Amino acid sequence: MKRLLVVPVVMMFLLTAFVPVASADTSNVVFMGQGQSSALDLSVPLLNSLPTSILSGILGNLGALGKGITAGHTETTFEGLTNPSVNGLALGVCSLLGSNLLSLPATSGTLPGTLPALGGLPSLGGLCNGQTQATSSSVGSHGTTSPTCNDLNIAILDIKTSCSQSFSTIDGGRPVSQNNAGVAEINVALLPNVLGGLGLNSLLGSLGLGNLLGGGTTGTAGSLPVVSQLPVAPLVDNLLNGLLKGVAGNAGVPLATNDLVGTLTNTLQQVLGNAGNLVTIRLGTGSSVLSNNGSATQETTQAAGAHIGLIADLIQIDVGAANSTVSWNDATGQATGDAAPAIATIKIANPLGGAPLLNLPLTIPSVGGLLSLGGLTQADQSGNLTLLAGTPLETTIKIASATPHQTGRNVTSSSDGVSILALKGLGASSLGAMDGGLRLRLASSSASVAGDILKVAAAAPSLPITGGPTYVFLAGAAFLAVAAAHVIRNSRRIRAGASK
Amino acid sequence: MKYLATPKARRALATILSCLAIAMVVGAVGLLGYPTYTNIRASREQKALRNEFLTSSKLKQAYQAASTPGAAMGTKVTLAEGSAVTRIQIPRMGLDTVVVQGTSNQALAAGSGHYPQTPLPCSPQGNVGIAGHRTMNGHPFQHLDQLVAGDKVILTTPFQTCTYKIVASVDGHANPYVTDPNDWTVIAQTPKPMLTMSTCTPEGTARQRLVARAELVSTTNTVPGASVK
Repeated sequence: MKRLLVVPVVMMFLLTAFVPVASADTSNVVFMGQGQSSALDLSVPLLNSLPTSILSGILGNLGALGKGITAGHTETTFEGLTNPSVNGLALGVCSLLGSNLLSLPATSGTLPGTLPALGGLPSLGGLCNGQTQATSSSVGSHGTTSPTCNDLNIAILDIKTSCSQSFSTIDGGRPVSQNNAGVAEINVALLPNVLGGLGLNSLLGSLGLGNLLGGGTTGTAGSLPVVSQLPVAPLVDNLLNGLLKGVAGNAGVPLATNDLVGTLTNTLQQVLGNAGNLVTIRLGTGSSVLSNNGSATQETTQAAGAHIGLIADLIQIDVGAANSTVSWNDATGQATGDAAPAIATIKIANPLGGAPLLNLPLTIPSVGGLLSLGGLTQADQSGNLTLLAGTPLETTIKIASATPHQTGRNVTSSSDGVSILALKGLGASSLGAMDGGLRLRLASSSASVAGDILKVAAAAPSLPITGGPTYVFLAGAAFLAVAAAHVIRNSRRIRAGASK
Repeated sequence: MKYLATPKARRALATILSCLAIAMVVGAVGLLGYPTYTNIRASREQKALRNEFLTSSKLKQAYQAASTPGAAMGTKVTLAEGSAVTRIQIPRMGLDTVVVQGTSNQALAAGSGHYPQTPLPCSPQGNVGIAGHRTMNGHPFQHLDQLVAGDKVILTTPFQTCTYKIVASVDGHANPYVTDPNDWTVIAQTPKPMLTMSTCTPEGTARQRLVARAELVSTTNTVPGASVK
């Protein structure tokens, strides 16, 4: 009986010989794009000016962090529909990333272009935790939807669980990707041995302050000479009365400055002397999600914000989520984008308890007022605040910015929580390059997409077909005849069996 | 095979298989007879086309419109697809058939068709294109490969009889010649008035095209006062 199945199969084959090849112009929809998010991106190009031997000699393992640290970093590059492919990457936490590592090339204005692959990861050594990368150009699933988590402790850096997850696939000719990464918490403790390792003796000695460390190069918590001899009280007094009082006064917050000075002094001394956390950063996750609904593809990047605590959480900066979204609609050939800025607030806790002494939205005007350096600050049209412009100490601050930008079918959206490029002239690659100093980006995300609908001319139709496949008909007839004979034989056999 | 356990079931299956065998035999006969059927159908169509060719006023109007001064070389006549256009005679092939307008599968069921994007037959300019079946549908161009240089091809229109002669070579290669199925340059316009005939090759397949080209050598008016030049 199974042999009989051959008959319809062969008939189908024969019939296909007569089906003319369709020839009509078709539309090819192509699009490509990218997304990137970072919960934290900190680099210190300033340290690049130091020889590696000195850097590692001073900082030990921490020397590898010279170029910076990136946490909660995700990115995606994608392309569809003609040659769909997608790359996804998620990094819990990595050193050495700097500000430009894995920076995505701009989407080409000419389509179809060549999709840039994700940059090869540098040699991350043991300082990169929670790294997941997935690339897909087929319907098969790549990567995983389950996060991978690790811990990392290096010298003064205590990085709690860092996790990442990356998954990519092609669904219906469209790329799909899901990338999430983040760390639970980063603590920067001011440990005495690190202070000693930092060579503060020689540093302060060169500044004429050598006695502050009491002549020792190492110390233990609570007994560090520098702490006891630092003029902490006058420093705090000046800081609060000169800086915070003015700002808080403008906001109408009454200050009990005498008590406050004393409390802050104690707190700072405690932090410096008892190995408290100088900086605590609690980060949200970064995510790059590429999805589609069958006709539209959407890339959503989000840096879920951060909480920064300075001096045992005395000063707190909260940064909300930064969201960037771009989408490409196959049917309309339209690209759209949207960006929501991360809202940042600064709080100064009241050490005596109660409501914060200061609780202000962190904006360029407030920062300008906070710094009030008179004549040394300037804000450009895009809202960037620049301090000490034109000097090696030039510092640019960008807060809560969102810039969707569209040119035809090319859309780019970016959103930043806090971006600080500080002391740009120090340690720069060349004189006047302004690429040194310290770079900090908190809660940054960006996404872009570009697409086009290409008219593809159909292959030229052939000249008229005038060669009827006579032999196919003859072969078909012969096959059917043989098959019929076979069936008849079986039929007779079965009938004979039935009559027994 | 439990369902064949009973004699009744076996008889039922045997009946079904018998019916299937009959259907197969019918199919085999149909397949075997289909090429012959197309030939018969083409022959019957030719009879009707010959009558149409002699009497169609639309055909005459089309040729008259094409011959009016200022008419475009690539005559955009509005002859319906499948209607008679010209009569073609090739003595060496023993061919005498009516060519219809169009080269679609339906039009070519009559045997041969005129490329609508080329000038009407006997045009004093350009390249007249005709496609014909090599197998089935009357297979008018079955022996196109047997043409040699100098062979006559005679086209007859309501107003003229034109004689073409197979040229010795086309663009430096022998004539007739084989080309790709997508080679539309075969009906590209030519400086001299030409006739290009195409069919499928090898015989019984549509893998390539066999092309024969002839040059217009003479035109005779068959109706006094015909305006076609």
